[in-house]
Amino acid sequence: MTAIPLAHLLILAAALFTLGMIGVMTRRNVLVMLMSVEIMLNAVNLTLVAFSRYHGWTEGHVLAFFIIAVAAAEAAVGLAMVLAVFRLKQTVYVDELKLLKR
Amino acid sequence: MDGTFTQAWLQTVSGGGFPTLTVLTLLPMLFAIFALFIPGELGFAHKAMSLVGSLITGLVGLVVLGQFDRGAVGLQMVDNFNWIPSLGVRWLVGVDGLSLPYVLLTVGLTPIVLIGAWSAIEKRWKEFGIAMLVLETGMLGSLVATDLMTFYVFWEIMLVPMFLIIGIWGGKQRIAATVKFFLYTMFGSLLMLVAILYLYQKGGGTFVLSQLATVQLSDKEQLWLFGAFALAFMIKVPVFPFHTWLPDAHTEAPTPGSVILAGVLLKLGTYGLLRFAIPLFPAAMGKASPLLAVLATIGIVFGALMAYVQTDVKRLVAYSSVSHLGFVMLGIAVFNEEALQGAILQGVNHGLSTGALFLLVGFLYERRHTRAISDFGGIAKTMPVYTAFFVFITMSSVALPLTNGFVGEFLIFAGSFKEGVQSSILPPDGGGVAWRTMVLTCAGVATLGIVLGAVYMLSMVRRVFFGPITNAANELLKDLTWRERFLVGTISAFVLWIGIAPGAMLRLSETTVHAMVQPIRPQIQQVRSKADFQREMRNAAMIRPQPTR
Amino acid sequence: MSLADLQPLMLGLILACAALLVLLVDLVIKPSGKPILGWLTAAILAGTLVASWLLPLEGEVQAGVWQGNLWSTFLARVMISAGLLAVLGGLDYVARVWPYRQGEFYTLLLFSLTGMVLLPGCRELAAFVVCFELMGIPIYVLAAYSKNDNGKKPPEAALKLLLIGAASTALTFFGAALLVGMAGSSRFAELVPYEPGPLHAVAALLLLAGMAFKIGVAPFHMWVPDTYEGSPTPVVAFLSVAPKVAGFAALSSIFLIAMPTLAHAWRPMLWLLVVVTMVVGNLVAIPQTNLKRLMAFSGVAQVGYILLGFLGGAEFGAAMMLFYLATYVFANIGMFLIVHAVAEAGEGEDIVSLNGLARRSPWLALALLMFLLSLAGIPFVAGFWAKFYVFTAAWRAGHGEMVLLGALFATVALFYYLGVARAAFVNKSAIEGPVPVKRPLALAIVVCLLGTVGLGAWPNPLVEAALAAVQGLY
Repeated sequence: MTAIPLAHLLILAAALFTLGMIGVMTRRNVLVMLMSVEIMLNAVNLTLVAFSRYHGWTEGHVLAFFIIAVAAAEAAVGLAMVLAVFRLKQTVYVDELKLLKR
Repeated sequence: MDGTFTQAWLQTVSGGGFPTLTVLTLLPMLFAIFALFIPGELGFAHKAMSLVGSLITGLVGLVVLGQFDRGAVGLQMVDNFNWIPSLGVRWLVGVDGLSLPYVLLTVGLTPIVLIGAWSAIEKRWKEFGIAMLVLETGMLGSLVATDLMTFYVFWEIMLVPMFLIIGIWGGKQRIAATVKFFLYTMFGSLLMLVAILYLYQKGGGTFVLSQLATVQLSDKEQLWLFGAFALAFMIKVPVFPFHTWLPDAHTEAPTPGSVILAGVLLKLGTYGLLRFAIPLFPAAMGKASPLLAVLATIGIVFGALMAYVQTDVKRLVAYSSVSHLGFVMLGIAVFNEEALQGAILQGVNHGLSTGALFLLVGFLYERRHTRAISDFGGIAKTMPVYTAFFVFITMSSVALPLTNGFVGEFLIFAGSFKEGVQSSILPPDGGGVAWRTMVLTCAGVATLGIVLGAVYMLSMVRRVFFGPITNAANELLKDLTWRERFLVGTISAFVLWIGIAPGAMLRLSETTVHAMVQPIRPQIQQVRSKADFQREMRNAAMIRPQPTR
Repeated sequence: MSLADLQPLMLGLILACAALLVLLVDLVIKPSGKPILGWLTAAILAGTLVASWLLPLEGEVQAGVWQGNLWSTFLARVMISAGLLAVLGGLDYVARVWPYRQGEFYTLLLFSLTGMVLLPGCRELAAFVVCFELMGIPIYVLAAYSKNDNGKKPPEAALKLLLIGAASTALTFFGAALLVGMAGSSRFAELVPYEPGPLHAVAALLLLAGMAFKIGVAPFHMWVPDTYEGSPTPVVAFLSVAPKVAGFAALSSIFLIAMPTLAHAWRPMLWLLVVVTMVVGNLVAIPQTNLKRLMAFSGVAQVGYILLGFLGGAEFGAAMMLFYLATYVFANIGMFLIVHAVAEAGEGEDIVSLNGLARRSPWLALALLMFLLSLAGIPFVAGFWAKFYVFTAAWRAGHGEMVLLGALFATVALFYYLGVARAAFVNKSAIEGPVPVKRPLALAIVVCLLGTVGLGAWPNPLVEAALAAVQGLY
């Protein structure tokens, strides 16, 4: 099996990151926005792991683990808030939330 | 406290002596802090507290006068203390003949204003007393500080109490007036702050005036920095065309605010020019003085004309301030010994006479709650004592002989005409002709200002005081109470004293003015004559006669 | 490695243990006794503050992953003070509005503080990531505490804060990941080579943008006013200063330590950000009628001034930035606490609710005036020196144009600060009687007042402390 070149992985990561960012900015569903943030963070992880593999050291892997943990915490808090909002407003669309529209 | 510690501290602050000026400056602030702890319901306690504070400050002021050595050159009673060593900010205070007259004016006028405010200020005495005391600290600090940063700190401190005094106790349009006042002044000050910073960098990390004065600056730098300083001060004076905040602030301010504003605050503008802007940037002053002279003259005439068309007595007096300060500015622009002496004295005079006028207008306003000239007429019949005082102060304002105004304006004119006619320091090759012509013209036009001054003041006096009583409300006016007589009487006494025997006042500043003009004037002249010389060479080249064949 | 090696991390460890302690006590205590938790937190914070002078906090942990020195200690003190003031100010409010959730509140606050306190000393990315998020995530939850006790208002503001915060974190991390990947090391000092390439510059700008979100730099400030308006005021008091201080600390340690060779890339960007921030913050603040929104935009403007110190670069600029931050803590928390006190009295959070404050509560009005003067940068209060020093720093770095701009916008800022002062001193109030202020809140306001006035009269010790602290950064 031939190794995938570093550049390909980086371009993929950058593309994922951009997609995630566009998602956060354009989507109106809070859940999808949260998922987009996760995509951004996963792009970060992909970058780290790709570099790590290319160079053959472990620091990138370690950092990726840290980021996974952090992202999980963030997602947990975010989902809890979405839940709280949903319970009161019965919606997850930002158009129906006053503050988030701005 | 341990005696040796106190001594060591005094040693560092004032070289072992009593730190008179530091105490003088901070005393009112101290009383303001005391007053903070007195409940606001006790209006009387606040009246007493502020008065006592200002009177004790006045006594310290007399001590300063007593210790002052008229013959000595340079700053006296210097307290020097390393305030913020990490940035080179020093608490460096001292007086000389330039600041002492204004220090005395400040400590003298403040108690008078506070007594005058007993009837003028009806509500919230706690805030008022504290504001006045803080204001006094600000004024005194600005006058004695010779470290630019310390000066700036005090200069800004004055803004807040004045903002509150106009904003809380002012007339109907007070908010607009006070915001205008604050923003105008703040804008100028911030530019000055930028200039101070620049100097600080150039001068190697010090704010001390005497050290900064030796910093080598290019002509361009001098011009820009002078511009920033002068703008801040000219807004404060105010010089035409930066005067537009003044009539509003005066009209809307309560009587005590107007008196302090006219009496001391405006003078700090001219003082700042003399103390900081000119000694720091003499070459730039040389270039700018024609402009200053022209602006001053425009201010004199414009202020007088505007005063003439006013229908509100207070607004009229406010515009007369613009006119009178024009004379002071003219004296500064001319910058020879006579003119400067006149300018310093005229600053004090204006503080006394305009302060008294505002007080008097305030007394009338308290009785009738109007200031429109048309509402009055013939009140000399019902208020003879008031009329006598008003007419007397008017005489001072229009500079009749035997009043202080005459001495001041006479000196300014004497200086200006002397400058115009002989201009002694100029090189004999004809340089400076344009400048001389200009000064003569300005002085001539300013003479017109004196005439106009007499016209608008006297016509106002005639319309308000003489003739038949046309308004029934004026028939029952009560004459001045003893308190009011005491206040105006005190000021009148000084007006008369300076008018008859100006020597004492003049001697206060004589040495300083001499010492200031000596080194600076040649630098101004150098620039001026160089420019003039070039211009005249050009002119000469144009009218050069054709060589004969 | 022994436990003794963790000595420099002591402040963070104390705070983390305190957070757990509060959580434990919360479990065993009766509901009626829960207000004690606030006092416990306050006491621990005060104790930690004192301990910061007593404990030896200098030294490296894990061969330079974390570095304890005057820099980290100075910032820790500032942040702990901010936490302490906010806890004191909110004590009664928290006990009244969320009687059953006090334990979590203080635990979250302490955890967030732990992250902040540890952040300035980080010299390695993994540690940085953890501290950064330890600071951030509890704040999202704190902001979600509903303003009124019936819990009928959805935590929209907090959700917005979380979404934007998480996205900006991702930006920061992406930039960092690129740098780590190229350098092959996660140590700050080895992050950027001597001759960086274009990808390094891209990574630096990503990092800068991410950080800009955190500290509320325009044009990345959209979340600031909404979060301020929507969150409980004591939380906002904390939120408006402590994360900012930490953010600036992080900014300095990354950009000044790791990226001096990339300065050509991020300095112009930063310059632009400062200009935009001052302009937007000051101009948009003028028409605001809600006090908290006004303070939000004023905060944006203030960040512009702080960044000016940063732009002033090198040691002096960073020191002046520290000084500015310290004075800003007092003035800004003080402002919010007064807003809080007035709102607690049932007056609302608009500028008009301050009407007649000078009549009703003269001391409160005096404190308000001092804080306003400090924020506006008028002498004899701390804020003046702060502005002055960052101007000096910017000037020394050759940014004369920024000083002019800053001075100009300081005049503009007077418009809205004066508007607040006018409401308190000039306008009349429909309501008579003093604004009730609870003891701990009053204590916090008095501390802020003393700090603001005291540092105005005698700024030297703090300036020297800041100058010394910056030595630790390099």
